[in-house]
Amino acid sequence: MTAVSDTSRYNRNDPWRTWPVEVRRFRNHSAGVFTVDLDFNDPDLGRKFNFAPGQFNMLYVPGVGEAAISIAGTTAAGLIQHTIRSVGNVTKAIEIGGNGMSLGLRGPFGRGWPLQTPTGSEGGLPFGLNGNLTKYGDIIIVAGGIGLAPLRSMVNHIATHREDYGVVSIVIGARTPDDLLYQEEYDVWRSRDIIVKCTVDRASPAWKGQIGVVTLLLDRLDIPRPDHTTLMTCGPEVMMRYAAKSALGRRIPEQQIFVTLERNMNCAIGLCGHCQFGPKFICKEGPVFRYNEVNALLRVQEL
Amino acid sequence: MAETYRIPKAQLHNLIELLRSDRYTVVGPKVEDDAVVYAEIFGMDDLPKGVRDAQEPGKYRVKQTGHENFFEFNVGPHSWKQFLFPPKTTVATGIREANRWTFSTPTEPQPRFAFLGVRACELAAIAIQDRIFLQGSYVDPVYKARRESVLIIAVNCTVAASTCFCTSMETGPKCRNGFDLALTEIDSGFVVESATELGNSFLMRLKTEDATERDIDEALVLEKRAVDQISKRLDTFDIRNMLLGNLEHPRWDDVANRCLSCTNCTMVCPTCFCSSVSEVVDLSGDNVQRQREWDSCFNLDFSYTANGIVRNDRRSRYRQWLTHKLASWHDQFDSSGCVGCGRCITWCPVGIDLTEEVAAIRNTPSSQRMLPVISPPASSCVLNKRAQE
Amino acid sequence: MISPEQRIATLSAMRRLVTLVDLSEDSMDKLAELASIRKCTEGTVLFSEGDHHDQLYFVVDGSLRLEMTTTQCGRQTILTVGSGDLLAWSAILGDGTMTSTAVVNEPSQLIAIVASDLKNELERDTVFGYEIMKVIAKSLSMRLLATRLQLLDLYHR
Repeated sequence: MTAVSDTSRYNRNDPWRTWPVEVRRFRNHSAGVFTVDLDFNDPDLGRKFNFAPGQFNMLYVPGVGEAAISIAGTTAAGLIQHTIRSVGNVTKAIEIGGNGMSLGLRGPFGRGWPLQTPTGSEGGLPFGLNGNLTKYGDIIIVAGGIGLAPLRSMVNHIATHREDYGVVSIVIGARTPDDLLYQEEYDVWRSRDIIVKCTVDRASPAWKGQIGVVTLLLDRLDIPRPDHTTLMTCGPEVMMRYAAKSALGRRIPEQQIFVTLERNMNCAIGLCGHCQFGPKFICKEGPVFRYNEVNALLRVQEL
Repeated sequence: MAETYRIPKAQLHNLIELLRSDRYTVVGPKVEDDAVVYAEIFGMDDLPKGVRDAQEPGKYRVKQTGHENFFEFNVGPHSWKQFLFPPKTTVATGIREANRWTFSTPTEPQPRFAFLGVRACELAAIAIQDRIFLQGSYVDPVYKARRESVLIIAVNCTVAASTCFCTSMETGPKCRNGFDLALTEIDSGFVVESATELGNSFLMRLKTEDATERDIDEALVLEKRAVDQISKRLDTFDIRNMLLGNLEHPRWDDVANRCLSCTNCTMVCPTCFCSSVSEVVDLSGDNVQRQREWDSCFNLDFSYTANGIVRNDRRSRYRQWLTHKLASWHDQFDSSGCVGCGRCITWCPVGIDLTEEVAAIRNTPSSQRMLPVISPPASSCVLNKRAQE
Repeated sequence: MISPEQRIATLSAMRRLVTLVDLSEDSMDKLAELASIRKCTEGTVLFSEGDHHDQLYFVVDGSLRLEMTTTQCGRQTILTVGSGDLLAWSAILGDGTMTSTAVVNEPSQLIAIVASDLKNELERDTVFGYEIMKVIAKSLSMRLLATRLQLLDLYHR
């Protein structure tokens, strides 16, 4: 029995099993930020790679090490997309390796975003467009910087199952206009009846859009049904805390706010101890967390 | 119901030989570098006959007293975790051919160990590591292979060190389960308790007699002596909430001034399991081994992220270790992470005693802010069902 | 004089603002007396940096940009404001001199309030004064937080 039909099934007893992948497409966004489309050398595997938006893979550069990178999406051809910021040895090596580079992949790992099961019973909330019942209610997504990457696959999931959701808005913040990721997709999302607003911290003279921190866009959003609204956010920790605070102020229930946390990730299987945040292993119980699970922990310095 | 027998002391040598001829690597206590360590044992002569140890915070001495006993000492700097969770092991390899990498995970058989001389606290530690490495979302294949084939001969302590506090952690000194054979050393031999088929199969090949009432009484007296010699206590009442409710207590600053962040405590602790994987490459660059090595939360870059080192001072690192060991472990593994063996106290170069640190915080609670008691259940975040299959 | 229909339109626009949600009915009515709706087209300069300006505004919808001028970089946009934001508070808090230039980015609807009239009313009716000051203080603190978050340069490498 040689070929394994999907990457997640074998993992429990052979968690270090690494799959060879190749960079099939390399796209630069701005300085040090790029997206790679990865191809499993086995077409069977690629087609059956199942992940939940919000999960991550460990990308491996032999001789250098592994890095935990959120899955930004898949292409129609079954390539796995990762948007990467080159900050350390592994990510820099991938940037230099570029198109055609041979890498290793382990994954997917972690808990993804909520409200995804097409036929799930959890999270069913009433009200939506035109007063019809929708499964998951209204959604607000707050993305900061490269935090948009793990949210992109969620937005695409929502767009594909649009009738399951009510009013959907995404507010996106970045440092400068060049740092706003996936700009060419915003109109596609808008065409799927998703409200998309973006802002930058510092503008170039050519920028005619919003300027200011992304939480301001959240403050200005219409939230007609806070009880039936779920907020998902990913970005710098400070930004997420204030997004959560703003959401609470708008009466979105604490258990309907979700954040993503990040710590040193070494094994991704909950056995090396590096990623602990208080009692939580970020690789197993995160990176997505319900805000009320972690807000007390977030207030402790150097935890 | 376990059966109790007695064997003359010399039969221990036969047991070791039987194990070795059955291709077990027998590891047990041995004196090396002025300490009782765990190493390969080839015969009874390797055992620390006549040895006693004296332990205090930051101090460990062995001395030869000339008595006739083989196990009249307590735990040393080694624990059995080095055999089940090796300090260095290859977890994966990669080969590059024509610019493409392929990867594999090791398939070589793991050594078969017989542990001779496992104390009650160590049995508890092995059970704790079983929960980590075998019962989580992912299984460690090296631990699993070694653990499944290990034969455990436990020893009931007849003395206690001043740093022992197994009674507070309810892990000893009496060995209750998790072993194949358990020995109590009396004057005329060993009282042997057999708990498994495997243990029986070896016992039956030795010259055994039924243990008499006198033998059993003698064993009980000696086992009680160990209990009576325990002087150290750790008050574990509500310890999880007490510690996690005092994360800003001034005591953390106090201990940070003494702690050297040397990692000794984590190295000697039988339950600590932190590790890191590093890359070992040959000269051609075409062959890579991924090696997992023991690491420690006291190492500065243990919590390194692109945004900086999270635990950037000794205060936060010591707090992490202690609160993990005694508090968060409950959230993660439904038990304490501490078995009361006292190694961390003995082997701390500056003699930090975690029972004292806990007492200091308990006696002067500084904050009312409590972390949530338990995490919400796993079903609170809905995963794509396909990804879970 | 402002017609009753205009008064009703102003009140209903004010009620939609999250910023004014804590005002009592009385204060809401009193404020509406001093307020009017203003519609602005793209490119309108509401006020200029350094000008003495006697109105303050709450944005109902649309978007405006705030610019400041430095010798080194000329005119720079430091912030865009939208629904719920307070503009030109210097009209009643400071000496009435504007600290930035406000230019309309997209067609916007504003609630305009005559600052000197408001100031008089705040002095005269201190209960009303306290409620309005609370609204202004809250807007200021939110703006300050936003400015700090901007300063933190959160996405820096």
